Amino acid sequence: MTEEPEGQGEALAGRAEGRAAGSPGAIPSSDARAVEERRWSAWMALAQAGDAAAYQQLLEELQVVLGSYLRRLLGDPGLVEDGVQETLLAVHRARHTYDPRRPFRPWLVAIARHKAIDQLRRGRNPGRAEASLPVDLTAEAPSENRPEAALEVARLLDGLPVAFREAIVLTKLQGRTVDEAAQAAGVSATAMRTRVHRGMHQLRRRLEGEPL
Amino acid sequence: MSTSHLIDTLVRDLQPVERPIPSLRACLLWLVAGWTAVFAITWLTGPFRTGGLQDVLQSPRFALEGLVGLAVGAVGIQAALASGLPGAGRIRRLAAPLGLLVAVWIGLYLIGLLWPALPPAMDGKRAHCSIETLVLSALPLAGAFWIMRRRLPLHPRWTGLLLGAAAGSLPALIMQWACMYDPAHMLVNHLGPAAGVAGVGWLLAPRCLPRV
Repeated sequence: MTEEPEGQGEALAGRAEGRAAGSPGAIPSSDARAVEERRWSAWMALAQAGDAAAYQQLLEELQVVLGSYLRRLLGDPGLVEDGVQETLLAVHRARHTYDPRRPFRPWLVAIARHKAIDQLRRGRNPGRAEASLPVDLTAEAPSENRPEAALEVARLLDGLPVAFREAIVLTKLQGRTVDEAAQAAGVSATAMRTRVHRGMHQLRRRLEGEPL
Repeated sequence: MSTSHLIDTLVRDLQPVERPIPSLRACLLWLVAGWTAVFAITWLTGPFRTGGLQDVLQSPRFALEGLVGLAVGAVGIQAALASGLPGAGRIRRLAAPLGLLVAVWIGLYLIGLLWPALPPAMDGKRAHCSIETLVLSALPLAGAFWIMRRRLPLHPRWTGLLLGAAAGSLPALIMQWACMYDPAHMLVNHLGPAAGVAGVGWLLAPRCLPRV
């Protein structure tokens, strides 16, 4: 089935409105989401049987949706691009695990969230020069070219205890080693490791609440 | 590589795929095969406690201990299988019922230390029951990993822990009827090794389970 199912235009229009309003992460209405859901599910079922055209359409739509989702979570365009590609690869590898009797979105979200957390865990390694900068909690956003992405990252980090924010900024966003981060923050390496672990745990819980 | 190029590559790579066995069928298959194999080996290698099975009818508490043990295996494998399908539920929510059942199982034996379900006796004592529990669990554990080969757990270590707990519970449960009855002995020599098998599952999972 490669024809556009009924209601596709409506669903796409919903997304177009979101983009036109300047909010790439805009969430379609519940009707549009249901239509989108059915369409993706049908395309994936066809892809499981080897239908390349349906698969192409599915991946092209997912690319847009995942881009919006991961931009909200990760901010940095470089990380987002990597995240979208890794998620599409994961979708490809995991496509046999999708059961068309179940909704598509939770399946996709689980994979995308997993990849986003992977991306955050790996963080960036922008180079040693940046590692020597003093700790600046206002500069944690990794998206120097996109203020809205910086706001998204700040929103996610907002609410974390200061010590955990600092630990994540130093290690995951500035790319410092645990020892370097510990030195910068004036704590032991063990304490820094604990802060990173707990901070990531709290961040993961926040990410889990993010809709696609 | 650009995302559009990646999509083209993935579409070219598309092959029809086979979905994993449905969870309920896989769960029943594993339980019946695992339980039969472990029971048969335990029976053949003997000794088997006289009246061990009749005790189930005579003591409701003893029957309850067995039922909870059976439920640990069923719930454990069901949770592990579900965790291998992205979007089937968060791993903690899937693992919670198993944690509760294990706590109840241990609790029943702890109560049994003061008020045993049956009078403790040496009848049926097997010389190396703890080692037997470990060795006998290898078969259901291998079967469980084999069933998981077509699934993609997002949290492999947790899935491995669930698989290990389910696999370890089968010989631990059968030892409840085959070996001597004494709650302290059950805790140390049957449930202890079963917990060890859960640890083995945790350790093996990253190497033995497919990754997204």
